[in-house]
Amino acid sequence: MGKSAKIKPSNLANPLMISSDLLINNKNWNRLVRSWSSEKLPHALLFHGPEGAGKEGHALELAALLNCTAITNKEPCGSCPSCKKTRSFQHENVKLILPLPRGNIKSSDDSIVKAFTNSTLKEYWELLKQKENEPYSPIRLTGANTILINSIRDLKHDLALSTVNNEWRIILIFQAEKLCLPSPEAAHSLLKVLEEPPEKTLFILVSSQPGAILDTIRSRCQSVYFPPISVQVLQERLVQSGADPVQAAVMVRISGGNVRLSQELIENSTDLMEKLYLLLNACFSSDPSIWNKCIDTIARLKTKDISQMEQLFRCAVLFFRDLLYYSATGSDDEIIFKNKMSKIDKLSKSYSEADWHSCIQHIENTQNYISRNGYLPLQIICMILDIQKSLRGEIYEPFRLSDWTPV
Amino acid sequence: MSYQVLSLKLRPQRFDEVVGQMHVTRTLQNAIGLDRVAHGYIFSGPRGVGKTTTARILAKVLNCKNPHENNPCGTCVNCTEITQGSSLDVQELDGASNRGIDEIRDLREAVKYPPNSGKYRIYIIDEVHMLTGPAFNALLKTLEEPPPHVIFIMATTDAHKVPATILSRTQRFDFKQISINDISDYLTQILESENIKYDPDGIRLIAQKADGSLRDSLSLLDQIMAYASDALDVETIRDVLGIIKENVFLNIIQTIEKRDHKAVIHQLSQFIDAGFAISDFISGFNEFLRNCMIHKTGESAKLNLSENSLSWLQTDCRFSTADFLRMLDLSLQFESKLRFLQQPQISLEALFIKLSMMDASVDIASILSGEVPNTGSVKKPELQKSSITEKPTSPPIQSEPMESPRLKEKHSVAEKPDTPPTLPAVSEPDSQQDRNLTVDDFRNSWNEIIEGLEEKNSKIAHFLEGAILSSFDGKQLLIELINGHRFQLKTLEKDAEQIISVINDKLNQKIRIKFHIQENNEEKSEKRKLESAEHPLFMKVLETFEGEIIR
Repeated sequence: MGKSAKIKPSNLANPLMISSDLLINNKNWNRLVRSWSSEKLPHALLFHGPEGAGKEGHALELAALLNCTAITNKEPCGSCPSCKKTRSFQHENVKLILPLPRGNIKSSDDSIVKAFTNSTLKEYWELLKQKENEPYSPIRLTGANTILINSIRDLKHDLALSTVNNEWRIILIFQAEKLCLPSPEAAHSLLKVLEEPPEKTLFILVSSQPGAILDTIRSRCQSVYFPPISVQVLQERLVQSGADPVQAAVMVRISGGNVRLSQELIENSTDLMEKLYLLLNACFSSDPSIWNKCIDTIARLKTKDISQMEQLFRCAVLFFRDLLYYSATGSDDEIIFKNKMSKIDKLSKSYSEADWHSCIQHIENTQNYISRNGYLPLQIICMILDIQKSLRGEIYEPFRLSDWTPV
Repeated sequence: MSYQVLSLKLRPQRFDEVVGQMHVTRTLQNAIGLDRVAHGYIFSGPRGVGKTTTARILAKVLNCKNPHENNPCGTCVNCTEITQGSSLDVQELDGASNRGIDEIRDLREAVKYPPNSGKYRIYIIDEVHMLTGPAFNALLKTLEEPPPHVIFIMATTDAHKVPATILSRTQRFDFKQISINDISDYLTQILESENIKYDPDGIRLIAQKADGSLRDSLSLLDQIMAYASDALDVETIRDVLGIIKENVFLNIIQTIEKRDHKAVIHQLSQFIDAGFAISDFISGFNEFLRNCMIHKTGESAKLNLSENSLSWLQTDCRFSTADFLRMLDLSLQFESKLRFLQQPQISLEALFIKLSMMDASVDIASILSGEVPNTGSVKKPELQKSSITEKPTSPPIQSEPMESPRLKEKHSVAEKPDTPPTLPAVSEPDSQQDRNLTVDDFRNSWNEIIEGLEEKNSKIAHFLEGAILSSFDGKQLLIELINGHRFQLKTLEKDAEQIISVINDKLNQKIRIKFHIQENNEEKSEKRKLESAEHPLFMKVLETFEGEIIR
């Protein structure tokens, strides 16, 4: 974390007491507060939107608000025992459900406690602690692929009991798409209780891939969309923390409005830029040795730091987007890589027939194939060749068997 | 008491309250009236259309002490107990949680006992598709011949996951998606009974967004009622549903029409920054394009188009039906891929730049009939090409009062589909154009060039000896190889740099070279021509487009 923990925006108005780092989405927050104050809060909410938009943070704020004993100005106070407990994930009526590793669980009847081996438990506590300090930090346990059906069974058991102090019971389900991925067991076993839960119970499902969630789950929830943080706000936030404006602009765009990612990116931006240079060089060169160098780098990235590999491709897409924009409009207003202007100008002139749109598609496709375990060196070579074809303005047609007739 | 959402509060308690499932409720009511109740039912259908609700009503009416016209009375002990979920005779099982063989064994044991206070013991198994294979099989015997007092009602969204052996032992009822009209009628009814002011157009929006599910529509209505304190006007509803105003699309399409790429990008990014989801945007845009397209075909059916868009379509719009169709095709493609995209915003921008670069469509029939002047080659239609058309159409096809913005005078040899991709070296093609060479210049100095090559690479020189220089367009020289072999072509392409440098030495001109094998196999092509001549339209197309038969 290091540096990112220090980022404390001062002038961004932040109405909430509980976590000063969270950028509040006023529209959504007001809407939630309004339905709460008019006692029309439904029993199930689905927060969806891209990653790093603060969905989990908002879910925690809402959970704190419902049970806060000293509500000031329709905000959780952040200092009463209830708020403190909610914040540190120790509240007895706030239950957190997320993907867990299988641990010692043998059958679907086992208690969820068995999922926590010593190491998992340690990791879990540490992640929760981080989350407490930094609302954008993720809780991803190693080896956790799915929300176990055991979690849902335990939850049902708990729901059958009454709450302490007649407080609201809040069930937070983070990465809710993992209810249905890879198999929808947990989701189906949640359906009945999600439709008709006991009184004063609120489910908050949080997901960045709402499309993967079963229709039957989605139709039982009111959905709230959290858009990515706008480019300006995020850029401002980064620049205030001492980042270079051009780099901040690039990184913000790469992060796609993801606060957490933008902070990580700015920390190793020079490294990323070097790799981007290598990749672009290979795309515009006909020398196989340069291609090989590029493939080596990316292959190493894939094993070492797969997220950086994804960012690298995103960077490349952004660069081609600049080229597309520049060759279409001839203006440099909305160019992202402002510091590479001369290069963009030169490239767009010397490849006047290039089909930049297809180049973007090639990179997107390659990224997709690699994520589906396509053979990496082959995918990259194909990408480079396809891009070079598009640079010459040739028509891109996927290979068909019927084309391949012996001469 | 916490707030109860509408879909629970308004859960129907009688058959005639169930919306849009007449075919099911009537059959069931008649079956009860005629005393022909089956011992096993399976209700299937999409989410939120009333499966569980109907199952509960059926259970109630079967055990009701004084049913009225095959509807439960709702007041007797049995009815109230079932509504509260405390009845001993009606058990609702969650198939997704109790899905093992052990639970089914327990159920088989319990089935033996006669009902407590009603006529039947009724088992409602919801989400039945999640039972395991052994569990289903354990149920088979009981389901086929249960004791006379037992009735099974199963509800599922995925009937295809239920084994055929189970399905054949039960009566299956397929629940339909509920029509938009039914949903909006129902919503109107609710709002009127709750005394809330509303806008009928807005209600229709909700019904559309609900996608055939009544529960979805009620959750949306709930959401909107919580958001808007008093009256439900269209603006609020749009806001909550994330539906984008038509004017926005109109503005964008007008900008596309003007080919103002910069403004298009600007509008898009404004839009994304305002917090709208890209998926909402593109689906709205598709809907708008579709309406425009249908309007252009002259269909006068009621389209949801605003006055502004209608006046635009009737007066200024330069797009034809075919143009709208092509745009719709591209943006539909984008919509289907959207889920997999890493950076949807960039791809969205690229899509719109592409749309704004699109040339007008030309009908093949109008070219053939000579309405459109056609000299030289005709550009392939955009859709097949999947590339931004910066390639010149030479000369521009003007069927409509518009011009493609980038016209370059250049004979596009590359349009011939048979020439293999042969652009050696992605070298920068710009060179000094002070001297305008023609093919004849090359022909005159061809011998010198061959000699020059002989010193460097005798193999190429040999290959080129019998070649014919066919055309030169200022940049590119087309060389035809008579009866050439493919490997000759490959070798030449590989060493094209050498040839170019020799030509540069002799003529002081940097050019590009393209090779092409000229088939001299007349017998073969003659035969093919005869075959294809059977179709006169085909021949005409060939003639008009100056095409060649490849195979």
